[in-house]
Amino acid sequence: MNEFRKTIKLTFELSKTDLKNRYIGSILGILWGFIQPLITILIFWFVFQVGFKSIPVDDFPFILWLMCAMIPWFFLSDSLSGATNSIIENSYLVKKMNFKVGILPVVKILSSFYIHIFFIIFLFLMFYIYDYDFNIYNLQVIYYLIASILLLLGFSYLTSSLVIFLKDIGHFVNMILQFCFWITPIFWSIDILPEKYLFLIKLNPVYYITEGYRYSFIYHQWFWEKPNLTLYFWVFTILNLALGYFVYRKLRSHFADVL
Amino acid sequence: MDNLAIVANDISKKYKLYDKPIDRLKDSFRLTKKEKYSKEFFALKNINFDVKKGESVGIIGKNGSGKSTLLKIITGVLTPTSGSINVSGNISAILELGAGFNPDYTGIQNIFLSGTIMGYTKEQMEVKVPEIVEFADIGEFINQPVKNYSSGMYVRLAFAVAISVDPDILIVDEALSVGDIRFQQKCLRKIEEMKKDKTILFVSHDLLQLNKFCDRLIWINEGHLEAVGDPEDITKQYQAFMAGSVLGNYLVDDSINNEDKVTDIEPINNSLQVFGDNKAVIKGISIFNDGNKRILQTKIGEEINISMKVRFNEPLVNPIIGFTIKDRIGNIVTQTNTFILNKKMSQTLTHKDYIYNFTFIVPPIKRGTYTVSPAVASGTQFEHTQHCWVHDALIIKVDDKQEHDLEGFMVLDNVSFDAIQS
Repeated sequence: MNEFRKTIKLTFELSKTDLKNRYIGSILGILWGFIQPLITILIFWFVFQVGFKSIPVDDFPFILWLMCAMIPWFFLSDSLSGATNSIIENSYLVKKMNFKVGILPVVKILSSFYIHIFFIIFLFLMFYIYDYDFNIYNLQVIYYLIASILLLLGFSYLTSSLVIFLKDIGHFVNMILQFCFWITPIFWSIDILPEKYLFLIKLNPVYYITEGYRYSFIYHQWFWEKPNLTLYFWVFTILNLALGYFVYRKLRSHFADVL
Repeated sequence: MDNLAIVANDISKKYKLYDKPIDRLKDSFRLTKKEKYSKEFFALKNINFDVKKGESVGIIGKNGSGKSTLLKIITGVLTPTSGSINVSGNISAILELGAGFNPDYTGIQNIFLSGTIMGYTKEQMEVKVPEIVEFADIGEFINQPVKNYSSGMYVRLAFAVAISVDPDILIVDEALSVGDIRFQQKCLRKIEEMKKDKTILFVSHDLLQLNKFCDRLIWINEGHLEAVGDPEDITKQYQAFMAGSVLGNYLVDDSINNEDKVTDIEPINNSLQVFGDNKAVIKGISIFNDGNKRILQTKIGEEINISMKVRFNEPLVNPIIGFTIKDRIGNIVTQTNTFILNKKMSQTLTHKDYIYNFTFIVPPIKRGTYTVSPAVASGTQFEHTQHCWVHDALIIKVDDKQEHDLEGFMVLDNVSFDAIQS
């Protein structure tokens, strides 16, 4: 038990240093973690609202609607690309000491999580500025947060273990992330798609998360009101976790030999 | 297990050598046992030993014999392919010059990182930091990223951190040899101090050091446990092995007469580097004491005789026979040859073995390991052709009863000292 507490503590300590060291050497330092996503959101808002004069989706200011999906997306993509390289990046820990390698992907997810927390607060603030009152549905974001972390864990264990043996995985993950950004209804509404393609979009587990944030903040729906989608997501996530953990366990003993 | 710190049970480490990393991946997930993606290589095979608590154990073996692999298995970095390892107590290790430092962190940041990983709180580490910084003694560099460190600085910091976390078992893997002599001595003093209540595993190529520090030695050769035991015995065996002979010859008793010496000269090992035009070949070289016993170890003041067997493939005019003695790191300690000794050599006959003997008293040189490189040339000291020159053909250990290791090449003997009060 003591050992377990130590591990938890170490994970938190490392995630703090990871956050600090991500932007080591730059003057603005950790601020970059917030500036980058903000700028991206502004660009999309400018292009779609000001440039293309997109009409508000479902009578909602576009920027709020966009942010609801964009913010969890940043968390997912940031964590996954970070976690994928987490073991390679810290090879000095794997090779030189007896270290619980399994915490490294978690450390990366945690350090992205801190930034994400800031953005969730920011989201509340924006809704407040646009004169939307706090609503009980907003709290549902915690459920989707947990869902996204579990989804990430499965993927992270899988990619971070595989990339050690197959460097191509790193490039592949980046490509998939790019692709996923466009095929997930983040800055476009699923309503513009013909009915027959809808199921394809819904197969993507990221859709469940991004849309979930919108349920919590905009549409005010509970997740159990979508039982089929919820069931699918959890079956997918649990299988994915099992696969990720299985691959990690299987390859763990080879890490120090290859790195 | 109560009084044992480390128990190694039939440990083997098999490396599979793959042509491509993807093959390793395929191999990990294959379902049948048939497919072969790899060649196998045993880094360690059936290693059994145990280390008692508080014992200091040295590990020797030539390069690539599996020492580092063994240490990595003990520390838990690598998992053995078969067998088991039991370790009681927490380990602090300096493996292959590293201690798990992040190259981008500064020295101070790395101290905290190591502390965190070892399970210390920030406050606990803050108490330790001054002590670590002082021991490492690398000045301003402590605030620089460790990637900018020289290997000496790196190992200074690594060692300072490793001892600061108060381990039950300290593992030092050759790292010290990178440090300068002062730091080495400082570390050795520290190890000496820790020896009292800690278990220490120590890899070194400095046999004298090992002899001094260790209670036992483990000799690993090509993945096998060659011998375990008393340091003096093991170093002798190991030296004999490294010199290309077996100890059996070393122990021949003094019934050997001078004629037998002709046949008793150790032939030159095939693996040695030989240069020259092959007109003459050095067939063998050995050192004998005044009792004509072949020796691998001598001491200051002893009369020794370097004997070499030379075969001439072509007749040579004015041949010169000589040798160079070098220390462990290649500094030439002394040289001599028949030209400067003013020994006129007669014309040589081809296809006949000649034995040349150089007899002298071992000068007061610092104790340590020295190598003898014999050479055959012809001409004069100033202009000559090398016919055969064998690098480090012979290894000889010079020992004496010096209590302290001082710097320098020579030992000052019979120093008189007066204090005059004015």
